[in-house]
Amino acid sequence: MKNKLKITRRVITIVALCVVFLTACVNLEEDVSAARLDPANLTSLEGLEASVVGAYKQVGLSVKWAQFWINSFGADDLTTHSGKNKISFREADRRTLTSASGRINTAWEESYKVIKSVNNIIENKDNFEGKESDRVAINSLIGEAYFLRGLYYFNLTQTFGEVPLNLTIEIDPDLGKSEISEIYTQIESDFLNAESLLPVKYPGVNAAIRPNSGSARAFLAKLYLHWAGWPLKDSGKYALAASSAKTVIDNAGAHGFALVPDMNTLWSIADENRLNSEIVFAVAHCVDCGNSYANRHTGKLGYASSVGGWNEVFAEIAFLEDFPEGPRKDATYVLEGKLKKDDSDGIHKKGDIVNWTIFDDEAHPSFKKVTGLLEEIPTGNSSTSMTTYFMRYADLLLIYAEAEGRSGGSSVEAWEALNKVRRRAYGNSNVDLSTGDLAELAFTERKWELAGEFIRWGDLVRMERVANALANRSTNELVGPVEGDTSPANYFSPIPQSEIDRAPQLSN
Amino acid sequence: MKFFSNFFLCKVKNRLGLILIVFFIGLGTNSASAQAKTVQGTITDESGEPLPGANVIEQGTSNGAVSDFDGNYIIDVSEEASLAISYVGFDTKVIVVGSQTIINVSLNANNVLDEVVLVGYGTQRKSDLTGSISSIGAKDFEKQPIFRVEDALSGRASGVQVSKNSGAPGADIKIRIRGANSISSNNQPLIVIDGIIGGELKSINTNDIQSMEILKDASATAIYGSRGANGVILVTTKKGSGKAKINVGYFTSVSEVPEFIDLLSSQEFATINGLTVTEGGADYQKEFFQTGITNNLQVSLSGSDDTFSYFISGNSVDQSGVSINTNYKRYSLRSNLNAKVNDKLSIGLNLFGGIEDSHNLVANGERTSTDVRGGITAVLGWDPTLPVKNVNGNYNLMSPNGVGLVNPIAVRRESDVNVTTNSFNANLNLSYKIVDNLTLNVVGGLLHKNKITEGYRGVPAGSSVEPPSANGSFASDITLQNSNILTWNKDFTKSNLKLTGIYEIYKNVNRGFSANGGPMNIPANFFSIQLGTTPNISSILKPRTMESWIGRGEYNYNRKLFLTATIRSDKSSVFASGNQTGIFPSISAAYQLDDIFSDNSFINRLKLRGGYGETGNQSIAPFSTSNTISPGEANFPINGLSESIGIALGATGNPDLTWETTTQTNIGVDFSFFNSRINLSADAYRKNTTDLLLAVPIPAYEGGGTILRNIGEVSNNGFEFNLDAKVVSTDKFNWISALNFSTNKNKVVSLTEGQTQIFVNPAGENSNSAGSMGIIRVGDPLGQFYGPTFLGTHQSGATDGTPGDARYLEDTDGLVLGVTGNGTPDYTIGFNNTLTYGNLDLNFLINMVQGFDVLNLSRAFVSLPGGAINNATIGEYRNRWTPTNETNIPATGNNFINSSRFIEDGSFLRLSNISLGYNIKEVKGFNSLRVYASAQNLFTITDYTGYDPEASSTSASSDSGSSIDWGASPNPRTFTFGINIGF
Repeated sequence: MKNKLKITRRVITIVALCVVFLTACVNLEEDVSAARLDPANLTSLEGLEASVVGAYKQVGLSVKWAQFWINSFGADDLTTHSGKNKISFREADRRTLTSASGRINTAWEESYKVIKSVNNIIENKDNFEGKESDRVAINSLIGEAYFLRGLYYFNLTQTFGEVPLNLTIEIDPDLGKSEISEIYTQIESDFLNAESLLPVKYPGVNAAIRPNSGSARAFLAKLYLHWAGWPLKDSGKYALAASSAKTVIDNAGAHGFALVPDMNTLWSIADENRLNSEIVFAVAHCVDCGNSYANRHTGKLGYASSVGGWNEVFAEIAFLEDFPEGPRKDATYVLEGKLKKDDSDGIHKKGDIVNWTIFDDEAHPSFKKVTGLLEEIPTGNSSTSMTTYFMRYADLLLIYAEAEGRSGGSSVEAWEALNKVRRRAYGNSNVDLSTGDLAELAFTERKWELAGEFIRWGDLVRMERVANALANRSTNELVGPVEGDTSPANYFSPIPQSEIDRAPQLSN
Repeated sequence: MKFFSNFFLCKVKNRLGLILIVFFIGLGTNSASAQAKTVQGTITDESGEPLPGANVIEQGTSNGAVSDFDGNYIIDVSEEASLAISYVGFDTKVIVVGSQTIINVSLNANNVLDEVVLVGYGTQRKSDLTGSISSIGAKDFEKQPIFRVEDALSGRASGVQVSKNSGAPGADIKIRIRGANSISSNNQPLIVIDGIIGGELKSINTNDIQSMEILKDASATAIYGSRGANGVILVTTKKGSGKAKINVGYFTSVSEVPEFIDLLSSQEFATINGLTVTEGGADYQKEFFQTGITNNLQVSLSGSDDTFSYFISGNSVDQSGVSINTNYKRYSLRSNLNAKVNDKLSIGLNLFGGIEDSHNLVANGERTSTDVRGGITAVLGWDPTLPVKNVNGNYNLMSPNGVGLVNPIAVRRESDVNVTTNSFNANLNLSYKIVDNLTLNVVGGLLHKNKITEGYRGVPAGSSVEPPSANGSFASDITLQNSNILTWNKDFTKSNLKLTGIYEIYKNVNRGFSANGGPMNIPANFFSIQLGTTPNISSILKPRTMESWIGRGEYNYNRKLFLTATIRSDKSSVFASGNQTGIFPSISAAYQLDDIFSDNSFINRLKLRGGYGETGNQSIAPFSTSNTISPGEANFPINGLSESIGIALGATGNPDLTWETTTQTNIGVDFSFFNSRINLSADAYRKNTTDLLLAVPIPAYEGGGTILRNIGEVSNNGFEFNLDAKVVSTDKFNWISALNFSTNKNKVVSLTEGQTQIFVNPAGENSNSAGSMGIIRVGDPLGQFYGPTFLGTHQSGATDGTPGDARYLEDTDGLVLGVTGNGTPDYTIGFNNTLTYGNLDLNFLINMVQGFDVLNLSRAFVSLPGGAINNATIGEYRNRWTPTNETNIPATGNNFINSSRFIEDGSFLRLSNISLGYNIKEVKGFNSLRVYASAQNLFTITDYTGYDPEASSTSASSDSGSSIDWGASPNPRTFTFGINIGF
């Protein structure tokens, strides 16, 4: 019995010892820094730079596919295929988008992803202390964050109207929609902050694919132009639009802004062409840097399948018929292609180069702005390095001319801005007061100059000219007539149902 | 770095602890008291045949012996000892030794209820169970030629649904025990192999398995606490017993896809689309599928003497898939050794090493291609007018006839993706009898798994021809576990009390890195990954640690009333401090009512059972509670010319996270009729899972993605029964039949406040889908399909659409979207039969799964143009709408792939196995010799039009939408011939 007790005691001691040994090493606290990058440790210039790169990654993803601009398919310049999986593009084209329409979530979700990443930078901007010598670089990077936030809220409100205005990374699922005036005021504030923080020209880049103070001011000009039009119609903003645009034009040299001589080169993927002086702000796509950086709304997307295309973005027929002849028309359209198989007309054979009207699937003209240059991008390529323009210098020149005209001005500089664009478009074809109204001439010039760049819709909306423009639709347009409401009540895209499900308060 | 050094230190300490235990115990046992007397005898069955390997145990102790080949045993026992003599398949006898020194025992055969079953950290007699536990022994599946353990589970236990999502060799198999609890988390049951938590069924050799216990209700699973909510499968591997035996088993199988899908022939496709067939075209199904061949060889050597037993086995499987250029190989070795050091101490060491090689297995078998448009989806939709290769011997990579896909045959043939999984598992089991009633068991285990992926894709799948690419990864998964189990067991006059206390530490570290070379301009192989022009690397570390205290009390009064109570406290590192500890209690009771029946009643046993318990689910990734920054995914060429390193905010962490809790109530009844010739068990249960670890969608304007929250509730109610019967039992002819039935009703009770539905795309999104493909909605079960309602075609004269176009239900707002079906079955039935006549035996297993829908996307994609497929290829398109033949098969219009048109009834009845064997008796030099032939999936009765209603393209762990056939790999029909030899 005694013996037993002794053993028991010994074993109990062993067990107790073991338990002590084992428990001593049970560490149940997670050490985040052992496996992840802790946001709290991110205070250096390099950390800020990497965060901005991360924001651009989202920018690149947002404009990867054509659905980012889906509401703009409603304009008179663009259309799509009559069948296949282009359902929601057709709905936009016919103005019958509903909140359940596919692809409308891209513009919504991708824009807010950019906004989240820059909110994270702006919210933590005071954490980035860095050395004194880093100050300029840090300011520039924070300025970029402000610029991108202004830009993406501008796109959001142009597409969806009233949207939630989220300026933090804190999650507040009950946040409601803001009024458009409040959103415009915030965008103005962001662009102003950006302008004050950004350098005159961004170091280390060959073009304004990173914004400079001129880019910020140019977008202020665009913001004011829209502020003066529908829906807020604060016409006093035209003067601000004109003066803002003029400031940039006056300093164009310092910012590195100028028209390129040959418009065709704007769609070229040669490095010296895609990174050009006409960029006021654009996203560069570099396929050589990785296929995930490709532009996927160009190349094959713009061709009909008869010539090996993907049938996504086509030009409208009536618009093409009205398009003024000249070098610009040649740089805007692709009107023929090489058949991939024998045509059903029994005449044209595989390999023949035929006009778009012959195509079996489907008879649409193409935009060179979408397809790119055939000598560089084969018809079957859907991953290109073509630049996605947010604003070209030509756009800014025309903003100036139109805003000046609409604010009652008629300065020589404003006419010259318009004529600069016209000279490249038509050869020598200056206009002046005797030709007509500066604002309307500029407005029309924007129609041709910016066709197929998803800008026309915004112009029609701010001037409430959608119904008028869409009335001119060709009966040969295969997608069919515009069936939806063309009044201002149907200018905005509905908010995607998937988002309303996550945040039901947005349905009001 | 800190983590690693801590970990290492711990390992050293652990080891030290273990050495100390062995050392001190060794010391202690030397001075243990000697036994008082020696008893010997022979153990036989009723007919006097000796029973080798029978267990003789001195009751209330761990002192025991095993009978030798002639049934003889010898044991030293104390005064006043009682001997318990047991043998699998026989009633245990208890004999008071008294003054006897020779005790010959004759055992009575076969009362299955006295089998001992594992209950987790201990054992119970089957007759004493209070919880709901199904037990499957080796004898249940040894007549079926299988090498995947999951196949042994299929159809054999009520409440257990084994879905073979994929027929791809080496694919993951989905197992659900009493339905799915969780919306966002894993619903696969916990696997415990020889006491070590977290093993993998896939890697084990079926032949090594002695038994599997499936713990179903919470009173049984609560002992596994935070990991028990999905049920637990306890696997016990074999131990050697009796005279040395060598068993050799070999089988070879041929497999093929039972039936091809009716597609347009090359000529039909050409005629419809105005094309010409080039050089005869090709039947792409014939090109893609092949006859697969499997060879399985297993060898085992086992035996024991008084103090030492051994079981050593080896297994080699070589399986080629039913689609070209796929295969799976598995090699494994096991050594289970048990030594009785002395009367107090016994030690067991199980070692297992295995290698699995899979070739061209994509996404664990969920898909047949890396690109969702590729694989079988592309095989069905590719241009049949083109042959695989052109006259010059080069692949026809793209079709000019509007198929925007890369030739799927070229993709598969030029794919060389190899995954090697090396496993090494070891567990040490130490049992020490401290005093008569008190035993300490120490279990130390380590599971080590390395997974190496080497992938080279000569022709990547997709919608355009891309250069070759290579990617690789290395991942290591290490589990260390130490369980210390103290058991106190005491018999009182009429009752027995058993108390168990357990302290357990569990650590798991998963880490790895991967590399992707990007496009290679010079075609080469994986080992030239450096040629990739846009390389990309990443690394990951996922550690988790858990510390647990567990207690269990078992009481029985007069073997009539049984009570079991358990409690487990788990403290897990994946939650933030303050939320780390979860307490999981359970209580259950059973009562035997045998004496209410007279001796000649046809009912000879009736037991009522009832239990309640709480279990948890903590299957969230480490670091889910912190905000982190994710590098790698955020790089961008910010200067337009070269990539810069970028970072982005990762998933939003939630520091308030804690367990998902499942409470389950179970009532059950066990009957035995006609002297236990028929046994019936029935169980009804109600499960409620609350505080779901739900990935709650964050509105896009708040940054999008999801955040894990403990929110929402899912309930499962079900009923199941097992019936087994000795239908015929004569000298020559025996027929044993087992039938099980399970039904489960699942319901989402609540989601986030204010939220009634979540849209999901369990198999991925697609732009041809109108809205999402799945919906999780309050009041509905999980697995609901969502989409438009198909109404046939617009007929001539229609004013609301173009004649011949697909017509869908619409209202003034446009398309009406709603629930179109459900992918979870209403009930399942398994029916297993073994008939023996003399030396012949016949086994057949029928599985029936009823009342579920399949979203047949494989058919949807090829039924009308949409996406990459511009021309329909499905056979029924022959009979499409034309002005002269106005059918309801659309010729044109929108093809919404998630419409009700593609929802099909997946219900099926399948002859899963039929085997006929012949035992050749008394062959000189052989102990036993059996030859057999068998067929799996010989026939399937179903209305499903795809290859296989059981195949699905969703992950084995997910339930938010099951049964989506998006190019899923069908299960083959297999014919097998095999031989088992015993020496």
